[in-house]
Amino acid sequence: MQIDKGKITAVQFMFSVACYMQASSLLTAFFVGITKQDSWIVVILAFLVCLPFLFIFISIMRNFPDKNLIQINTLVFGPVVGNIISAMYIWYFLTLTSLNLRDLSDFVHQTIMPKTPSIVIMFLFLLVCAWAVRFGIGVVTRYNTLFSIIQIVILALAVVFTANLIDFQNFLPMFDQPAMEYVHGTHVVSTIPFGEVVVFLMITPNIKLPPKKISKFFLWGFVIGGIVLVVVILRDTAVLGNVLGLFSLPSFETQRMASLMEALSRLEIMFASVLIILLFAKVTFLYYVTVLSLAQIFKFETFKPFILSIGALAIVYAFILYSSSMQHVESGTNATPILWTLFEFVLPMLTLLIAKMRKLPQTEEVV
Amino acid sequence: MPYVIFAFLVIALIDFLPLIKQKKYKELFCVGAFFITGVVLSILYVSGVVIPSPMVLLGDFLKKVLHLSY
Repeated sequence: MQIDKGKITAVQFMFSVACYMQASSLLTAFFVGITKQDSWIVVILAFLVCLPFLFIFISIMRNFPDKNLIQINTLVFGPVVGNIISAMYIWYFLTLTSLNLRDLSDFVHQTIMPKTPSIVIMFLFLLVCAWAVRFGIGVVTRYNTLFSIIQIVILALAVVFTANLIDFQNFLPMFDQPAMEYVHGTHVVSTIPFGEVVVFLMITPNIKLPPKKISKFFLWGFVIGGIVLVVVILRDTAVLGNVLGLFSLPSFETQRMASLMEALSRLEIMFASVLIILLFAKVTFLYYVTVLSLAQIFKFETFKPFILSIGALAIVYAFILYSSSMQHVESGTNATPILWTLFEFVLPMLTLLIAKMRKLPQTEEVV
Repeated sequence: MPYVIFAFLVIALIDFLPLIKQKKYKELFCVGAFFITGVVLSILYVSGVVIPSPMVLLGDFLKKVLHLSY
């Protein structure tokens, strides 16, 4: 049973993937502390590492074009194991919602509204997200194309405005760190944010596109998001050099320094607004996916009754997840990549493998 | 604390009344479970009780039991 019958176009889907990844340009602190001036290398490596997994996601979408991840789990693993795995995924979606909500709140608190309590920021923000989620996938993804393009334009402007601060010596020494640091950095980037695109398996039935054409749009969305992340890291490294790892928000620090002569300076509020818009798109999507998964697992006709209760739970969960930003960064660097590997790479791979072994889509069609 | 109780009362009114009117008791039970979890966690949090974070606990489990960490 399809709960949300809304449909999105291929372009909306592509830019939703891109927008989702672009929103993570705030989270570079998780890996720049590990690989410093070589961080751009690990972003490219992670992009390449994630490509085969992206094709696994695409294969799952192609094999089950009319089913979302929760329905696929039940079909592939059976009702008992399938529901356990789905419950784990719901926890993963809720945790991602709360983590991104917390990121947004910390960002706004640190940069724009230091005197406003975090709870007020989170509450007002989630209220807008809840309003969007209420209207379904069409509204959740409607403006992602615009958001994504705005961020690309602002990023291009930021590169121009920081051009006078760029020093290519900052990239040196290159490949000067232990190999394990590159493996660690690649693992972090491949799970946060590249692997997180697994959440798009929840909206497969809502994409107005023949299953065979999904790969093109998913891949292009992934490429746009990946390129933006590489450009962000290249710019930050070129401006900040190997002190990149000392900042909790390196990207924002770079943008704070942007100016065009004397006339145009203090432009960070513009960059901050774009980041908030992107995080709005990301949190709204994750919030939607969480309530949709819950409605799917409990076999509801609509996801609407869950919206406010899950929103309230997401806010309090955001507070109890980590006691400080430093604890968040420490966990994001060490434990989270290992945990997320299960949801983003191991389980999708198992799903595809078992589906192939059981010849599931074909078997179902015969039945 | 009063703000938390007020917020959850508003949520209860918006979410539960339509479900009760439509006699959707299964939905009411499921949504109620998440609602109560939210209420309990919020009251504990604003009362200053330290609630263990699942992410930190899982991180410790990976590190100390499974020896999986960087």
